[in-house]
Amino acid sequence: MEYRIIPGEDGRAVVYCAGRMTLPTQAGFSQIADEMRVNGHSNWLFDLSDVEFIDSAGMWMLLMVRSVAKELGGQLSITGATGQVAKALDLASFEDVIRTEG
Amino acid sequence: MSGAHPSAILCCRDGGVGLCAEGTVALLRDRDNPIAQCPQTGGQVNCATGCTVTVLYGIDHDLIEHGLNHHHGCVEQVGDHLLSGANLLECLQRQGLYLGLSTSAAYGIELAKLFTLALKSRLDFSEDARDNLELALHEALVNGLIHGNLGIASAGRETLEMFTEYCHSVERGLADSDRGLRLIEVFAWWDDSQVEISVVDDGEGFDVDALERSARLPGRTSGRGLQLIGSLCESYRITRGGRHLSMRFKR
Repeated sequence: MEYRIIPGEDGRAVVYCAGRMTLPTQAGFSQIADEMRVNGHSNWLFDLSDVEFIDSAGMWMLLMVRSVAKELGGQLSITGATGQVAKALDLASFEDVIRTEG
Repeated sequence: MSGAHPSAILCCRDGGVGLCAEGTVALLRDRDNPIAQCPQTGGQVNCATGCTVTVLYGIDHDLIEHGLNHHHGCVEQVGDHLLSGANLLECLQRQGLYLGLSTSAAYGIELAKLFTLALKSRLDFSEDARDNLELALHEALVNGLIHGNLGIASAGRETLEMFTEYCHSVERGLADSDRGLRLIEVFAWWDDSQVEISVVDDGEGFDVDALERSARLPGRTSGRGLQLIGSLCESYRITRGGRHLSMRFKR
């Protein structure tokens, strides 16, 4: 999984993710979490537009970075999921646990 | 490990495998200089079913793709062991699709994607249906590889640090000379109305009822993969004490 973090226009930081969100990509999530802790933002938006595949481990990792956002006193939302990613998140009722925008 | 040397498979590196009805068969290690003889035919490779699988010496994405698309699957050879399980013969007799790989090899490649793309090339189903098959198979594979063959429980992932340690335990398991080489079988057969895909691991098994109860609990910390599988297929069954998960999909 690839990612880049840029400041959003609304004061949030946006994490653009691309590729596959599965257990072997865990190292990428650990790096994101480390960057979140030193970045200075407390609210985060994860843009999943370019994520091509997510599994239950990928969802679990999103919950992990959400817990980091909470540690920072903020919130984490997701946006942009399409295709397989949108369907998997829907099947897992993921909107019940992470706020989804758009 | 159940990856015993099979007695009825004849194979060579370039993808040809003869399935004999019975008899002792050796591996062909060199595509240009075959060293095995089929006792059924006095030396000629005579395939009883017309089905062949590719043997992999080390993991090669292109070879797996070739075996899945041009033959009826792949089996991995590690040392003197051919990692094929009890389901290979039946799968080939049904003209299905089969993979027999070590845990470490299967974890390192996008196996569900390759397998379902090969199925799609044989069966006429939509991209949306392929997405469903891929996710269900992927979840079944993760369960079989990590919870089955590596013997790692899904509990203890509540924080990012715990999750990172969980991932490290997966890496240690993959590097383990016993657990990392345990067999994982993936196979599919089909008829006009349905496709059945199975994942069989070589682990210790688990309490199936307890897992299914956990998957239904609100705020659950495990079982999300099984919940996804149940949502994606027509039905699924877990047998052999948790080692065999089979999923049925409508065509």
